[in-house]
Amino acid sequence: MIASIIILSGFYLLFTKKNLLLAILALEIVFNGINLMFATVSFYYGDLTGQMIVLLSLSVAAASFAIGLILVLNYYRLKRSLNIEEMTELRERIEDGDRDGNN
Amino acid sequence: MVSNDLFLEILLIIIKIAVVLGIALFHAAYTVYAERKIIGRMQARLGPTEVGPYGLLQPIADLLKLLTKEDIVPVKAERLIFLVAPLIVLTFAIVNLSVIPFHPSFIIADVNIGVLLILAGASLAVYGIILGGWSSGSKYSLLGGLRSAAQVLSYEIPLGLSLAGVILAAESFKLSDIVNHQAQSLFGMNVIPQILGFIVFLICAFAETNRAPFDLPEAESELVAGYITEYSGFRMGMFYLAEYLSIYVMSLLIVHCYFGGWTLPNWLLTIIPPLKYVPAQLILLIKVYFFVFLFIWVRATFPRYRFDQLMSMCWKILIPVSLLNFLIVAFLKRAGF
Amino acid sequence: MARALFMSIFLLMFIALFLLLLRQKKVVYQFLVYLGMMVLLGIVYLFLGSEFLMAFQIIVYAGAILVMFLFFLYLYPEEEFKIQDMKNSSLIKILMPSLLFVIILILILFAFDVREYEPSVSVYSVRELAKLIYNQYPLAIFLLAFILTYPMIAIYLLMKGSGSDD
Repeated sequence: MIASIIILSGFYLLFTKKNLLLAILALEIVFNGINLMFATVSFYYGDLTGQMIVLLSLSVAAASFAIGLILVLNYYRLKRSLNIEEMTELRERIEDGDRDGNN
Repeated sequence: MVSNDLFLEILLIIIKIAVVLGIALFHAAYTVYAERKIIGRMQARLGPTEVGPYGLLQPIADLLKLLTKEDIVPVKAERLIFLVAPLIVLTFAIVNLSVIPFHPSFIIADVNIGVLLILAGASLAVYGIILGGWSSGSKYSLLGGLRSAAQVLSYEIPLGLSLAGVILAAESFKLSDIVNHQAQSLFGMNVIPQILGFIVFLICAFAETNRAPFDLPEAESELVAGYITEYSGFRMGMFYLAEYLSIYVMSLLIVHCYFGGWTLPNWLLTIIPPLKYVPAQLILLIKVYFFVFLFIWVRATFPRYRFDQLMSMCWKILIPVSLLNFLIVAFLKRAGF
Repeated sequence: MARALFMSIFLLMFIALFLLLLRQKKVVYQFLVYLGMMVLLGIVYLFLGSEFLMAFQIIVYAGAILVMFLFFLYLYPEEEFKIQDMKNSSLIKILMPSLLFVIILILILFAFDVREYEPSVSVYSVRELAKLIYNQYPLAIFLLAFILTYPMIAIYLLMKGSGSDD
């Protein structure tokens, strides 16, 4: 039950905050809630498989959050702002020339 | 009755904690004195000799001085975190002591994952450094704290990897099992098949405790003493106490993991039979004192590393060497040792 | 009985920490509250009988990932982080899917019959856990190695890309 509260609170945080770092934080909260759910189920059924799943997924998630942080860092260096609502473009704006990249 | 048993157990644990804390804090305080004396002698001068006979009451004088100094909190500091940061470092340095056995039958918490808790305690002690550096409100402290944290964090990796070699050899995470495995193995002490791991562990122990030759964040000639700059009075004393306590914890770890703890190797006992009657506590004490002396000796001897040399040595040299050590242990284990 | 008491205490502490998280104004303090949540989660793992997981949770999250986040937060100025958050009135439209999820979850828990589950093997120590991972789940280790090559390639490309732009 604790796990479901954690997951739901993580989702609430994800939807209300507009800072990119807080969005990553909310995703980490959700991830920890899922880990807790695995550990709880493994405890109540006496099987150790749940704990092994958590072990493996914990190590992979650490690496993936590190890379997420590097991406945020590079984006911050480029745009100097971490507001989600300003990240609406998929490619850079080209001042002179075509949209296809031909000048 | 169940409640009577529980009460007795809790009382026993409290007595053990009091004994261990008393001995460890006493040792940490007198290590400061010993360091000043020994470094003084190595530099052809006497250490402190004024207070008491041979200067033996010097730590008490230092303690009284620190307690009566004024407690300054900078105006731009984050007040709550500034006050709490030294406590975090000291707490986790002391928590490390609870999983180390001082005798075959004397351990405060005999958990299945002893060595991992020491790694976890070292990881959490980094927070005191970072928070202390940031909450001081000055750029020097921030940079010093971040440098120190980067150093400690990077050197935890070879530490963990060389410990992984030891754990693989002993097939258990408990320190008492590691010591017993060394007593029964062919080589006697873990240092002989894992000499590479021992060297890596020793270097990492120096780096983990922010101690020479890796003491760039708190050197007096660089960055104005790093993250400790804005602290005064007993809070500064707490930082130094935590550092000397972690020297003690690290040398205990080295002795237990690589040098056999309270046992002597079998081949030594066959060469010199009277050594069988030396009590276990004395063996442990002599070995730990030798390693504390080694920490002090290295401080007096080697020059400091520059920060980029430090980081490149960790990532480019120590991690491959500790992985090589792990491979060697795996092969030895497969061959049946 | 004691376990239920402890779990309810932890639940209350989690909710309290989460409300504290929402009330903070600076981003750094929010991350420090998150650190507290990670340590509390480690203690909950201890109460669920998995001390190995507790050690790993503390070492990985509270010892490495959060330190990384704090490094980033300290070195960048605070003034650029002040962003106004969403109002509460538009929240209901967004929370509708989660509410649906909760309702379906409760329906499943109370309507269906959960059968008895007999695990095929019960292990009790770390050594047997290691043997089990090596013997019976090699696929997991292979998948892990496969997945981890992608971050390494991404790091290499990022480093190369930022170097050739300047």
